[in-house]
Amino acid sequence: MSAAEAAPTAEQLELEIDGDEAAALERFHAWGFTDGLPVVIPTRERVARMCAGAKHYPLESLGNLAPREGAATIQKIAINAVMAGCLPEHMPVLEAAITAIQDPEFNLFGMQTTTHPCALLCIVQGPVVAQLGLNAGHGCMGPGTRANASIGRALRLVLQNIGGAIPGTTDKATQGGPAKYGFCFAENEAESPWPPLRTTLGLGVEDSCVTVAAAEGPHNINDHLSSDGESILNTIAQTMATVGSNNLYVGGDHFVVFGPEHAEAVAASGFSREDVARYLYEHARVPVERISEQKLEELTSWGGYAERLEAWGRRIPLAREPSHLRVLVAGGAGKHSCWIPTFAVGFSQTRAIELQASICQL
Amino acid sequence: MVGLVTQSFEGFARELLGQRNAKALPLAVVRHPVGGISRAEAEARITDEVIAAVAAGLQKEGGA
Repeated sequence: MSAAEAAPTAEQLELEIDGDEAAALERFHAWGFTDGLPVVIPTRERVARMCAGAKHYPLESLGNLAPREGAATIQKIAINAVMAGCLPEHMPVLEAAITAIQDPEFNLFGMQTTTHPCALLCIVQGPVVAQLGLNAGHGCMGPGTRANASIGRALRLVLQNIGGAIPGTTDKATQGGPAKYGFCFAENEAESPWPPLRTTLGLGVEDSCVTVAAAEGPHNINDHLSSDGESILNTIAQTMATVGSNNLYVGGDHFVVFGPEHAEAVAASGFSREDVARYLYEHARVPVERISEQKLEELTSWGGYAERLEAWGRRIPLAREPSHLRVLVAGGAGKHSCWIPTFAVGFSQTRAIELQASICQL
Repeated sequence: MVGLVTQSFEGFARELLGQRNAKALPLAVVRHPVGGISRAEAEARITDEVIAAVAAGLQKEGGA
């Protein structure tokens, strides 16, 4: 990314957003406020409308976001939501996600500044999916659906403009990745043979929620020929068992997202969600023979598990515990699933989405 | 206290210190990288200049 110009004063900003939009867009690019793509200029009227969709007051802060420790006020979140193309009704999803990433277990500072290419994965679940028109079916991971694209993009802009993760400067991702533009999709509950993911995370079927994780882009898993559950799970396990993943280094939790057809076949073979996680824990392992000596030393020192190698049969599991595998269904027809590896130095977080009317609307 | 950082991450470190109102924290800069090299190669990066920068930083802090 080219060096951004010095941050504008409040007066400069006001002049720009109240003036010509095309000129303002060029200034926003120059100031480093965008993700490189055009944004919607956050005029006062647009920001006020966006704030009206929030559960909290405009000047209320949801906390300070690392590394800059910028205050995530509703107004600032709304500015970024406008820029990303969100609708006011998307605000409660953003509020829940931004609250979730501040849990110490998430490790926001690490996610924002690491050389790993992790993006902020946002999985929306529950009744809100239909209400907001989120895509849980064909192409749900993009592109093509406004809610998925704009919510994911707004979160990225919040991380950059409030959290201060400036690509190349404080966001030190060696190569970055396309998921960093935005990575949001919904669980396909209607076609899942298993209970909704949120019911395994302490929430009820009637709840809406968002699960956030510092994740890589999805790694596709193609299996057109296997018809029984164990064969499909074996394909998934062998795809996951790779040497370069952060999850092999340090564990963390990660996501196996079944396409509905694979999920149906696996469930028809008698596998519950817990059975799937147990199977993948047992079989998604890398034999130490596949790892060079130096790399093995690095892995065991980073992961601190040298003493567990023998207990694991000298096959390192991608997930240290079965419960570290998040199993869900998303997507449409076709014999594809995916594995979403993660930064792994931290754990995903889930928060309920609160949809009460904002005080602004009263 | 003195921060130790490689050349490739000096800008990152200074930006972070600025964001956190800690620009005065002294930094000692070593040649990049320090990952994926042997212990001997890593030790060779601790040059006289680096040691002098650490010493100066500690003196600035009053020997903290």
